[in-house]
Amino acid sequence: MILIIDNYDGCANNIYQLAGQLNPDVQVVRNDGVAVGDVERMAPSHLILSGGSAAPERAGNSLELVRSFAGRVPILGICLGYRIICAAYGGKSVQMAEIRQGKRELVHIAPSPLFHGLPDSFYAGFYHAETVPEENIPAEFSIIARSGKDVAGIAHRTQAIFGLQFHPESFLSEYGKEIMSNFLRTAPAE
Amino acid sequence: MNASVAELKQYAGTCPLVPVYRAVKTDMRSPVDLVRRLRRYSSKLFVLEHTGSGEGGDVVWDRYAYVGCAPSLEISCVDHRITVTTGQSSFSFETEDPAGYLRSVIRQNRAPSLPGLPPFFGGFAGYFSYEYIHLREPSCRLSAENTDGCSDFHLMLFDRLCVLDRQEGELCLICNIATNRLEDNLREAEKHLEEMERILSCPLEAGEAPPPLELLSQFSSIYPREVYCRMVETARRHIRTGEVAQIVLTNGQRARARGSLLGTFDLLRQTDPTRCMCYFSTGDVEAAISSPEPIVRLRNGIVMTERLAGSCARGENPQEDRARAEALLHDSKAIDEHNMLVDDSRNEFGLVSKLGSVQVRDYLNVVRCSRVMHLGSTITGELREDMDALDVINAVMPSGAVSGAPKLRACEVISELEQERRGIYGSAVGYIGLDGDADFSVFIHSAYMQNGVLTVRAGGGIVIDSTAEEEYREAMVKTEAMLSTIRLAAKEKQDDFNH
Repeated sequence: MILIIDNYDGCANNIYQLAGQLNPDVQVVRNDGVAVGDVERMAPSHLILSGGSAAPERAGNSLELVRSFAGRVPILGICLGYRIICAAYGGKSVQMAEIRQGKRELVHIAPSPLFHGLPDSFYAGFYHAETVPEENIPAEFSIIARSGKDVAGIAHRTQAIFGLQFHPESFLSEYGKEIMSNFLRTAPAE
Repeated sequence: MNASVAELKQYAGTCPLVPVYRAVKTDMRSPVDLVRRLRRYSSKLFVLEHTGSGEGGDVVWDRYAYVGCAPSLEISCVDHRITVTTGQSSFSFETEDPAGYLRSVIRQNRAPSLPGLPPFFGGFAGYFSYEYIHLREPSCRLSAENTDGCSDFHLMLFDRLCVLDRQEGELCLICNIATNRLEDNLREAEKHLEEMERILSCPLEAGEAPPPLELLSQFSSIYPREVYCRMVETARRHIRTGEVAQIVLTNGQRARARGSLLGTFDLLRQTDPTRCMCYFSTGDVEAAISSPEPIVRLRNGIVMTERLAGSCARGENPQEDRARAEALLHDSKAIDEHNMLVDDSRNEFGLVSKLGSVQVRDYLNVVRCSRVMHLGSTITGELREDMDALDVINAVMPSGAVSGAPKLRACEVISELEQERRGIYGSAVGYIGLDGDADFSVFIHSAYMQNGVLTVRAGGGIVIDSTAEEEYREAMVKTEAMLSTIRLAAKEKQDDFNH
């Protein structure tokens, strides 16, 4: 079962639709609706953290879920979800000089299992007012996507943990389905 | 009559109600003519009609105009207290789940659509208020008190409906009857249809015209300039931190008034016919609506909405009109905002639609209304088998056009800043049909009267680049457009008698 953690944003159902098309065994729960123990019992195959408007530390149980399931269940963080993953490893978010809401921008990618079969660059939709500056990206992660100079995606160096600042589930994004499909093919490292 | 007892009997097993109807020729062209005659019979009325774009951007009326009168049942809810009214009797009770109770009432009143009937042939018409969200989202904390006793929803069940068919020049008189004791009910229905025909064919006599609108005080702003500007600044701070991406704040004008808004509605129809034209009177609330923005339409299992964001005035001539449309299509700020609303609607439909069925169609289509044009995009989805019209309402309310994004937090911030409930403003106005289809538009570009106070509210989406002064002016300009129609209607007094 794919478990989507809704961080109170207007995109969780879009993620639900995207993932559900590939595997209908998918469930959405709010970030304050489940604790680590509940998720343990639900035994998801994959964990997806949605976007949201709170600070990573105030996004319900999301931060704790990342800490608890890292390395055991593949995790994909989108937008706030990505910044929550960074925060779990000590990477701080900062306010951007200029916010981006509803912008469609070109993303350049580096090889990653998440981007298998994709061209080197494609358009993606951005909705955010905070970002993780490159110097704050935790050492455990490599940068796998950029938009301009900004970091737009990261992957853990040894585990199936991915973060995307852009929204693959947005209608503004190309290859959203391929990215989700690649993520759902990942498994925890043995 | 459309069908024999034998034909209608086949529906008895599946639906508690079945529609019977009769078509009569008419020379009436406006539903307002119908309402003037029907209001002699009941003060509880509902009118709905739509316009579309014809060739060259002309506004054309849709084929059907719907008029409901004298509902057989009313159901309304204030906070968690439901009131059900049938004829002269009514009862109230508290419930944890008002929407659940409403659903049970809707299910008890189902009827099949039959060939030859218009899309709406009877059902629950009225509104779900902007604040309806607090019933389905207890986590959404709205701090504004409900001092005016505004309803969270108010629906009137019209099992009888008059439909003006402009194409055929006919009135379709519809009566939905219970399928038990079909023969008896059919005889009753024939009497009802005859009575409707008689009321509609009987001209108005002296003293029967709607009471003219009278303004008993000057209009005054809900929020003075300084207060509203402070509200905009606070909203911008919330946007700067990323807590919300957009917030729709409103201001408005109020005056004491008496009489009917029917004349105002009639003027709106003539001077500024917009996508959805609606008038209703529930007895305690009367409203005239000229809304460009559908919130959701459900027909044959397909949910559909059209989001409008980014707009400008129409050009003086076709050439200027085309140039303005072109400029609008290159306005990157307008397009960013538009994109946000499209993803928002996809997200709302994502909750109630079959997996993989949500689609964006006609992205950035230029929608021309009589005075302004908008950028529009259509979003559709196939409704899940286990979902119904009320689930759709729950998923989309309140519209992003009057709240913001992300919606829950935006609603909380609005409540903190505006410090009062919005009344009918921002509600979804429309119907849930007896066949389960639905059609709702957003209550904007509208006026309503309650407790002797006439209110016009208008607002704008606050984004990071908004300036307080400009937002204040924009809300005033939007309000003023409606006030000028109201003032005109208040002057015209009783000379529309004998229409």
